[in-house]
Amino acid sequence: MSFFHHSKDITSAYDNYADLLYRLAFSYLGNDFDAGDAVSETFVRYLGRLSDFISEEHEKAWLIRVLTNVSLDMLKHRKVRAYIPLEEVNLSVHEKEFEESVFDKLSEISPKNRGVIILHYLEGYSVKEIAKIFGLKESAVKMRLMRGRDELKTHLDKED
Amino acid sequence: MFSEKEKNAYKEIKAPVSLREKIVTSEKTETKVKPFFSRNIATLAACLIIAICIIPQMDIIKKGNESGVAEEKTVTVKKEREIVDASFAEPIREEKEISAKVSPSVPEEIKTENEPVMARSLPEPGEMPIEENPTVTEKISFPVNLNCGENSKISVSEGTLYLYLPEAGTKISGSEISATGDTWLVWEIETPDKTKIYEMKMLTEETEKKYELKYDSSWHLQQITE
Repeated sequence: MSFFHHSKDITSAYDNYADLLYRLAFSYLGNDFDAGDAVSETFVRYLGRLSDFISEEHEKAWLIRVLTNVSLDMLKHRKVRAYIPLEEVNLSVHEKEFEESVFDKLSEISPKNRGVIILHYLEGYSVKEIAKIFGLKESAVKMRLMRGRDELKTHLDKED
Repeated sequence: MFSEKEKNAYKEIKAPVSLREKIVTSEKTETKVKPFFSRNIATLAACLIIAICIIPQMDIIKKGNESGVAEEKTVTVKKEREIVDASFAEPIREEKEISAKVSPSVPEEIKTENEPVMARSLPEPGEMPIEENPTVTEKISFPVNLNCGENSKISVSEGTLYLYLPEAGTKISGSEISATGDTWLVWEIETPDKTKIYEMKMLTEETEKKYELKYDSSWHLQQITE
């Protein structure tokens, strides 16, 4: 069989990609709860997708792209939680630690450039792969990487 | 850009177990709740088409056979009485065989002759008349996020742009709209042609940016590129 069929087996899809998607959503949205909502929404759309994926790579790229759109949409429409109820705070185990290190930096990068920065510097994707995922030209990806770096540099310079 | 410690901290983030349960369980529950007919809607539709198209025609065939044979029997008897000749036995037998396919609408004079009668065959189930080239229109929406300058004009070569302004509670649409700042748009195109490249232009006071919507054969998707 030359084609990879979209089996709609959500269990295997979740096991393969949930961590990656969750990390990405967390980087966009900044808290566990909204990240969970974004991942859930992505898998709902995954189940609703009618056509097959041509490869596992395509499936992964599609999920990253949809998650990015969902996260940006949540940011845009201010569906992100402005506060977290006190009783739920203890559930955010790694949030504090992460916030101190990477998230501080990522939050200074605009959402548009953030996804590209994360995929390249933290997930290890090449410029070519990112271009394919987001449907951009390689030059556009390089431009976003440069802008993201500049945004971060400006922030660090201000701190100094 | 990021230290090894920061990279490790990032990689340590895992989706919570509760989320897995929520997504996987909800999917399974949804499947269980689905009634039999909703899952097999295509099968049901196919059965319905067969019931509507095939069964009434089968009934006609049956009726035709019965009446045709009955009439023929009468004719055959007459001929046997008029021409008592063994050589006529063969065509008559042949006529009997053919008669099974004769519909009752065949004129009387044809039946009385001893020539083989060509029966008008009913269309096979696969040859049922189907409306040729049914026109199916499909509207596809592409969400677009643009960082516009002051009073940017956004226009598209084809289709319609929709801009929702939550503050005003209104929706603007058209092939050319004005926007300012970070803007989310929906570009709707009716049945996009895979061979065609659609253009979107963003015109500010200083610059002009052009975006292309085209079919990416490697992903089998329509994609917008800068």
